[in-house]
Amino acid sequence: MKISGKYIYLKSLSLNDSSFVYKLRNKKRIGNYLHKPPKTLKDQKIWSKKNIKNNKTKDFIIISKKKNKKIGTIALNNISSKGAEWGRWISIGSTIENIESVILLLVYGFHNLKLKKIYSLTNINNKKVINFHITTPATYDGVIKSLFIIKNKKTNALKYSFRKNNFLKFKKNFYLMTQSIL
Amino acid sequence: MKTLSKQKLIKNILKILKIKNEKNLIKTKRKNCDKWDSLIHLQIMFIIEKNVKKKISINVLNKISNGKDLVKIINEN
Repeated sequence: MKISGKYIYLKSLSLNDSSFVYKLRNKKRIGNYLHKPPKTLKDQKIWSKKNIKNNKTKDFIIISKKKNKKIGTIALNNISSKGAEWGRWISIGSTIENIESVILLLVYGFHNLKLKKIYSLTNINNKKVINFHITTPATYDGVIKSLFIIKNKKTNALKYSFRKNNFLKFKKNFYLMTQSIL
Repeated sequence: MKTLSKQKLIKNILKILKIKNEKNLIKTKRKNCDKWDSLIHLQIMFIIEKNVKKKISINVLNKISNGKDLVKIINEN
């Protein structure tokens, strides 16, 4: 599956992407706020295989159209009739490419899967990403205590949710702000 | 959108980034400023573009990594 935007496209995760995902998840500056990455490439392949088969999860690889290069990962998980969680967002592209990856994922969730609500759970210490959520029209739904275990320490998460109406506002603003950027 | 004076434009950016004054803005690095996330970066570029009436390329947008760069772009136009 391919979901195409102005700057990037999302393609479904395949086993061939394991090496890219493994290297990305093990980058030092990225690992500070995430669950422990897989120890070996073999572990990453097992993880990918399991998730590709899982109907409640949809993982994507983010590809820059300009560079025709993989720049990150993003996913919907815990998919149910009520909604889904968006996350596994690791994107090392440009500002615009990174934001568009979220927009395209939400397009997939609201338009293709017809979800009513898509939420995110972010490590409370990941201030840049928390600020990103605050800047979007997503609504704040509260703190989830001890959700993450990062470096053997329990860490709280903040929950932000999109519904179709506030997502459409977000999408409209993004394309308005980027309309003249070439 | 009504065009803002350079000083008003900088004042708006200070407000968005919650920075006290221009001197502090010049010292600010994007990677160390929690408020300066990707969406805020895009908003700032949008405001500058509308007010300096000059198109900002994606390369310029990606290269801006500190407050000094922002002030430079505003003053160049």
